[in-house]
Amino acid sequence: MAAEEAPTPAPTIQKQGSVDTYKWSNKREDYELLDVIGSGATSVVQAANCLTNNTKVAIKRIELEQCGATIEELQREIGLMSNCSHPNVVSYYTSFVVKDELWLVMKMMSGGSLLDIIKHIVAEGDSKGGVLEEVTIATVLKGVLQGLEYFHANGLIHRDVKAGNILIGEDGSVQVADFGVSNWLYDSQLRLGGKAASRKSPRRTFVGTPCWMAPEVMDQSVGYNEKADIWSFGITALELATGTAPYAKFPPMKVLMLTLENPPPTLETCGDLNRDEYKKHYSKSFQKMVEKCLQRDPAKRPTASELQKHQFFKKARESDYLVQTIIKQGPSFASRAKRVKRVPGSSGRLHKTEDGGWAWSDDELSERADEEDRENVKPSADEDAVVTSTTIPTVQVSAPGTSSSSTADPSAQSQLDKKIAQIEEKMKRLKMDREQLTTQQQQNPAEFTEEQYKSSVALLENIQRLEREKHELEFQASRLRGSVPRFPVATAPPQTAALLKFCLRIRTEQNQLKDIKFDFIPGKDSADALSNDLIAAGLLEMKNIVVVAANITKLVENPSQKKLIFPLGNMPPSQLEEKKLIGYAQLNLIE
Amino acid sequence: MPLFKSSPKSPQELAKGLKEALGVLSSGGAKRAEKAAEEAAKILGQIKVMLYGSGDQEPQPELTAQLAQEFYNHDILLHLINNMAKLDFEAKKDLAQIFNNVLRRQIGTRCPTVEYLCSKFELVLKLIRGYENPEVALNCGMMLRECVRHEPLAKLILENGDFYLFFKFVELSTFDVASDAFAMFRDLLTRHKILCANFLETNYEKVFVDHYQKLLNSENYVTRRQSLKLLGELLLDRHNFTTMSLYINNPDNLKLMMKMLIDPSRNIQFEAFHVFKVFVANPNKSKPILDILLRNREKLTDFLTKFHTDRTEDQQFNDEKQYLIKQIREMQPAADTATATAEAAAV
Repeated sequence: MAAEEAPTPAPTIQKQGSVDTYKWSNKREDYELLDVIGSGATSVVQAANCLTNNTKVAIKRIELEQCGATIEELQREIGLMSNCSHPNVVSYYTSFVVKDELWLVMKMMSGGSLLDIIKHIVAEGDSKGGVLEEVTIATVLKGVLQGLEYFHANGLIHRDVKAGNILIGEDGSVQVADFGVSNWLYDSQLRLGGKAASRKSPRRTFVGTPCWMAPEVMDQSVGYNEKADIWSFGITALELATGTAPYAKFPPMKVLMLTLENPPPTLETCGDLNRDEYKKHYSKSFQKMVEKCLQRDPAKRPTASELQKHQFFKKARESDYLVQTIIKQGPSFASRAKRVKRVPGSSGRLHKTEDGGWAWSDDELSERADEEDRENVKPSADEDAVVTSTTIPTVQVSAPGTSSSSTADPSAQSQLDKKIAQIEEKMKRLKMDREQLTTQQQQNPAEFTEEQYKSSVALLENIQRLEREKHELEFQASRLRGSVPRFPVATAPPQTAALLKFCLRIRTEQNQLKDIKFDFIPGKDSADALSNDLIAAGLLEMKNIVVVAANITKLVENPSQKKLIFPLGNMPPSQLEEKKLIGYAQLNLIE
Repeated sequence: MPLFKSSPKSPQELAKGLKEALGVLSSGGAKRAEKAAEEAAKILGQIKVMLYGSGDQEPQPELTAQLAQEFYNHDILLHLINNMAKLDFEAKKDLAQIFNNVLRRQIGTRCPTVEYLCSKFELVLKLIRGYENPEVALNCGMMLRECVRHEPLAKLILENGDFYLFFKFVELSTFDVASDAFAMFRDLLTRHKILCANFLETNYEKVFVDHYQKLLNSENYVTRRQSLKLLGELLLDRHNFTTMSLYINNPDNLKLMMKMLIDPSRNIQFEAFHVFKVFVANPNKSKPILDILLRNREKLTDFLTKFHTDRTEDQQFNDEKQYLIKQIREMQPAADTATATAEAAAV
């Protein structure tokens, strides 16, 4: 990054929720990226210097192309964060888009997460009688409780309280991070879906990390409320004392089973190695507090506000106490920062190298690579397309085939034709009326009255209704004729074509199953025209047009298959049920 | 009232107190304004409790009715919105919740607050303009979202020129504000089906040609991706049949979609596919459309064959892709093209 003029001195302390928080730059060049301090599957957290106010911040860079969450989910998450302003809740400053990354600018919590800290202490072999001492635990957890109290008062449930989501600032401040339905944001531990996919990304059925999860959250038959956080809070307390959550060594399914079947964990049952040591180190009041949180019945657990009054929290000190204890005990900032190899021209992108490190790709390199990728598989939307004529091919209502179908009933057909003609006449009148109104509205919008608007809408509704009726009749008529030859046929006809009778079983908007039967004459009908007719007749949703046409084609080409069941892509995978045709449709050939 | 330590204020008292505080807030000096903001925040907190209840205390319908009446009579909502930027963080949130509660009020089938807002539409416009001020943008968004649920208000917003401001808001640099504005934009164009269909049809040129095109060509990755996705949703909604027909018969749109099929972003390619398929599946292709597809036939079939081949688990996508390839491969030139070529050859 080119050296810039020294920025004008700016206040380094950002008041929570004050006007200052709105004054963060949204320009990439105003941030000087420093060390990587954390990473997930599709994101990294990097320290950075904000040049406009000379403040150290943490920037979470999310790769939108790879990230399994939709943009709406990210928006919801960030909306929640920016709607929170509390000393014990992660401070969010701003967010903006840089190429295909989303950058989240947050307060720098240089102490790292409590998980980093306890891991470090355990690694140093300093944890025989418990990882953190009681006063530290009380001080940290009191801050967490105040954060949770704020969440709950705002009608939010955190759903993923654990040491890994509690951040410690340089000054000993405690903040709860990563809230809402979004463990993906800071944590890649529970990416059950594995690979990122957009439309089909598997929806996690439950949120949270199994070891910290309350029994009622696991048992999906009952709902849960903010008391689920209190359970996780109790588990976190045990985690801070023993270094891991109870059952941490078991695979997720086993954890679910143990949590649902065993009595709630206690210091004794989870600290299997140093059981007696723990009992010496941690007071009765700590154990009582944990016991209160870990009650199976959520209603019996105290609220976040009630819990703060528990005797145990009398031990809590001011936050600068934590500077003396855990920040000194914890890993140094530099040791957490992973070195990043940097290639000059630093607006490139970060990516993980094979050895697990991080590297920058040079902008130009990656663009060249993109270029090559595209080169290989590129149709060109020919810009110099010679557009000579704008005539739209008129819909050809070709005469009924002189009788490919002996079942045709001429009288029924002429009746239908008459009805269709009537409807067409009506529609013509309505359309003229509506056109008049529309021109009026366009020419003189100011004088367009409520009444006129209403009648315009009513006309449109009527026209649409008639259109549907008409198409339905046409569809019937075409079935009587044994084909739907309204459109020029695009498919090459096979030689000996036999009539195919189809039945499409699909759910209506009201969720009723219905059967739609229609005939298809290979060589005469085309799948797209047929599927289009079904839409026009109001029998099929627009969004299914192509997939239905595709499956008709499949059966036409290979009638021996008889039956096809295909997904409609209109439903989250968790709700899909192929047998009941929920999110699926079935197409079969009738003998 | 022995039940309470201090008796709660009546709706009239609350409204009066709030009005006074807001008066000072908008005109008073810095010092007085600060106090007034505190007072307003306090009263907003009390009003919130009155409307939502607290703990086991249920809200009382007659009190909420009186409160709403005070709000209409003294234009309290308008004063609140005008002074919103001066309220503190939590008070703004309270305001949004109060606003939404009052807006949801119903007497039988009537929504008195909706009627009130229709007559004081400048208030809604103020909320829309709120997106321009990052300090209140998301609070305004919360209130607007509730407004848009009500068809009469949605209709007024669509018909008012201010609707077109959203094309600007969705490209604001702050992601959460821009994407909140986009969610609103989508709501406005999709929530009330008939209203939306009518709006899109009547204003097709202005919406799609003059404005929407710019979103699809935006520099901002998120804008491109989101607007393309919404376009697909709009075109594939059967209420928008007429709009779709207009859209898929314009060769410029087809060219744009073909360009987006080769966008560097796979997500954008994929969304583009879902719009592109409608052009190909249309049995009544206009000649220019047919021409483009025919001219690119080889390239397109080749391209589609190699397109996102790793999506093996997505059956719908693969079915549709195979179908498109087949359609394009077997496509026949329009009858008049054939004659035209024949004539040209004869000359």
